[in-house]
Amino acid sequence: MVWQNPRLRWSVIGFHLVLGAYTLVVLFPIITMLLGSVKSTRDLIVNPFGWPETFVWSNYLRAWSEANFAVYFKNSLFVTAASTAATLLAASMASFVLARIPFRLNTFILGLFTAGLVVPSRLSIIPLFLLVRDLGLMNTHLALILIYVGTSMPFDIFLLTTFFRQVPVELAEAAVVEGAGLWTVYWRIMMPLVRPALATVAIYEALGAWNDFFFPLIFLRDNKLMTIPVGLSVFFGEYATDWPTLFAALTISIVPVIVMFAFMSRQFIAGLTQGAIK
Amino acid sequence: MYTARKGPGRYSYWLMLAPALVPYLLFKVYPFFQSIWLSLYEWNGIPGSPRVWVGLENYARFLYQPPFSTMFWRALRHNFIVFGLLLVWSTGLGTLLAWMLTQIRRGAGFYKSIIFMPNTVSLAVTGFLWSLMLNPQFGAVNALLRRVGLGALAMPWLGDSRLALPTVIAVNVWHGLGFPVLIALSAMLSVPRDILEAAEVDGAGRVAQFWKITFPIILPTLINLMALNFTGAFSLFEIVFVMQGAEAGPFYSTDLLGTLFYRTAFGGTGSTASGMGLGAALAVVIFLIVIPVSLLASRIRQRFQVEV
Repeated sequence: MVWQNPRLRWSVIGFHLVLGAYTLVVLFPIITMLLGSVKSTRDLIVNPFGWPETFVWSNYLRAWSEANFAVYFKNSLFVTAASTAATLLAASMASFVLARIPFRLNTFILGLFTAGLVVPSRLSIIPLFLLVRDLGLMNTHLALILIYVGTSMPFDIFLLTTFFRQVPVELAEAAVVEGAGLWTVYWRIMMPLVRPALATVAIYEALGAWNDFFFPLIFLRDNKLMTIPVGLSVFFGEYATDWPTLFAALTISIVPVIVMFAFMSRQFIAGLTQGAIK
Repeated sequence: MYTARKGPGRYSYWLMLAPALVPYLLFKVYPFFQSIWLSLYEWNGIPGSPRVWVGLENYARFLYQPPFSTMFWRALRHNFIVFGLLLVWSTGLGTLLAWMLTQIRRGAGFYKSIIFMPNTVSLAVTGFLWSLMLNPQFGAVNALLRRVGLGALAMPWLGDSRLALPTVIAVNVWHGLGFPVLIALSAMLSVPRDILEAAEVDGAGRVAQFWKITFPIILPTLINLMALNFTGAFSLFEIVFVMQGAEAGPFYSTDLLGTLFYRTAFGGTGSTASGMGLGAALAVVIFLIVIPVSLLASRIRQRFQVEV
């Protein structure tokens, strides 16, 4: 092994220095944010990144209730949960059919879905905007949910069909012999076996919906409907000079995701890296 | 296995396809083709107002008729600068850090998680956080530089038209670096251990091992990352929008095709508001730049996978 060679020890220390320095670059703004969120405005100006003089917890109260953050948080939760659940159901049913049922248009439909992998969805925003307006879905959460479901199909189906194909055919055939219908085979036999792939899709979609800024920016006008990232932009306009409250709002936006990442980092990494490399 | 079934339930699989197919056709396929169609018209988007066929004139306005052509070529140049910066900062630095992670015994898992962490945060939220950090008067970055005696380096990072674009891209890399690190790392870990050990027995150092053995094996992965840098550069929008506004200031120095597209479609370009056709034309131009690279990357990937 490389590191058992004593002549190479010094370079290992060098590597730790470089990696450690980059770790500090990652953590510096996050720690500054956490400490800044409990400072007074005066304290923050005098002392931008040190330990707080006194802990001012009221910043959080102001961000949470006065500045609507409770509402934004609830909206983000709803849009994320609904679009992830709908995506999982729609993508897994379609993938099951496309992976396991031979019919005339099968190859064409699968090709149509995977072709979408190279098409950036946001560039179609003009027709999408007109469509959403003409459907009367402007300023609704439903518009976001439908768009998230529709635009995420290429990757989800691409991933899930490969998993469905790996499930041994004999399992399903045995069930069919015993009289199981299409739905039973899908729900009772196939779904439990592709659970890891479903987890990947779920994390990828949930984070995408939770973090998205672009579609809510275009489609949500009403402050009461906004999700966290767009809500934050309104908030930054209104509270531009109240930095401790801005930091508190940022903490509310960032910390839940980081805490979840800390507990499930392996699933997060799998979901996000598979999601982008395609 | 199911097609042998007869009766009315024979086509029930269409019911299982529909929840995926209908939103996909409606919200992804249709808008794509409609963009191409709309790009041939001049239209302000208001229902009932006249839609005038102008052929390829919207494209001509971007390619050689000022003021739009000025904005288009400037944004395109910025996009290529961003691509160049990402090649070095994202793929280059990411590969370097990944290589270091393979060379240390302790702490690799810890570093990996920390480096990846910003990836889980919204890019827009990251932009808001860093715009506070980089504030010239009260920001922590300049305060830190002054504290450690590097006050001369305390710059108006986002307010200087030469610094603003690299600064915004640095923030984007801070957010996304974990991705190339993990992809390069997993490629490096797939290099057969015995080859590296044999090379070491023959006296090859770390660096020689990397260039002679690891690098050729992970090259397809790196090409893939570079292709993602390209498509990433051309789809960048919210980080500029959040940190520098829709006008991509100062003086349009951070303007990218993404922000230009947003202004053309939804106002803010200053001139006429009849942006639907013009915006659609710009979208088609960006499609024509991005899609071939994505296709080429997947082609390259397949070819290399056969050879390795």
